[in-house]
Amino acid sequence: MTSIPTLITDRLVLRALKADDFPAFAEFYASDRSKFIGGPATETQAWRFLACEIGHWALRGYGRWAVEEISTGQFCGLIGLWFPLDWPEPEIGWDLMNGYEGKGYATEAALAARTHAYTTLGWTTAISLVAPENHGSRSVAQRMGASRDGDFTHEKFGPTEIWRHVPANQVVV
Amino acid sequence: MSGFNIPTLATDRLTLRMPVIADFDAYAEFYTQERSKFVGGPDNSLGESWRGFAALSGQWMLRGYGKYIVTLKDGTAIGHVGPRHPIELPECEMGWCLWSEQSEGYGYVTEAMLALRDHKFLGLSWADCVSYVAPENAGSVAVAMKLGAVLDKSARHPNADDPSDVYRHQAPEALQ
Repeated sequence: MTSIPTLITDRLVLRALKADDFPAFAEFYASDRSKFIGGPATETQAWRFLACEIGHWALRGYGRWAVEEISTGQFCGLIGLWFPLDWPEPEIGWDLMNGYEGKGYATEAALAARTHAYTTLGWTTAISLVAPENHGSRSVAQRMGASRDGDFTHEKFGPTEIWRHVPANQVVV
Repeated sequence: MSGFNIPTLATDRLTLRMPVIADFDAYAEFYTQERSKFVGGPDNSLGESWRGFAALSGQWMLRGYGKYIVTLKDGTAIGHVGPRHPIELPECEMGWCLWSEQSEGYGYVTEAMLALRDHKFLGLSWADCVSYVAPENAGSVAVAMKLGAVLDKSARHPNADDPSDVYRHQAPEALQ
């Protein structure tokens, strides 16, 4: 049985995705904010994406968590470790649901995900893919201390910048 | 802590178990073939196939039930079967797929589906399921009949232009 651990940060809980998260997830994918990651998408497509996010855990043993705001209990993001077959290498990925930008949540959750990757999973390095126009996402990578490391073009998502995170042996946990 | 708690089922000749990454190559190969046309294929994008394969597992946590991989007793994966209820379907669909022509004609699908019919899925009753079968898919029509499903002309289709027939499954008790 593949287990999905729960991580806790100052303001956030990272937990397994569940069906109750779907309305906010579908709303995010229906909005223009999802344009950097294959959206906007229909509800039918969003359901498949959500099932894929969860199934990634079963196939890889890791994946992305539902991020919950502790103060409200609201589902506010999808953040964690992502390595589908057509990715160049394992990634730390972050998507904030609508209305949760500007609070530093992506950085806070992504740092917890990086710690999990470097300690529990034993990763030595990790990347993040950022669409060239996605300035908010680039800022998260920069705040985490990542640096540019080439480009990757995906057959569906188009060109992306590769941002390489501080390697495990240089991170103080 | 949360996880995938998917019980393994066994029949005389088959094992039904949760999807694992080692099954992916055979699954993807199936989706490149013309025989996948009844289940959304063919699709030559490996990346898309991988996402579809991951979604099989993911549905277990969203719905509490989902697709099994069917293997022979030597471990060879030959197909996937089970309930599926993505958001666009009006009802839960009970489906079956043999990945290779070489596995046809042995009654494997019927054997797997009878095991599923006897299994009590959490939050799902067999009689609440339908199967969408293309009329020209003679093999699947035969499986639906063997399972005791009946043609339901009044059932809603997921798409208005969907030419498939809807077979409604019957409670196992009613089939005695």
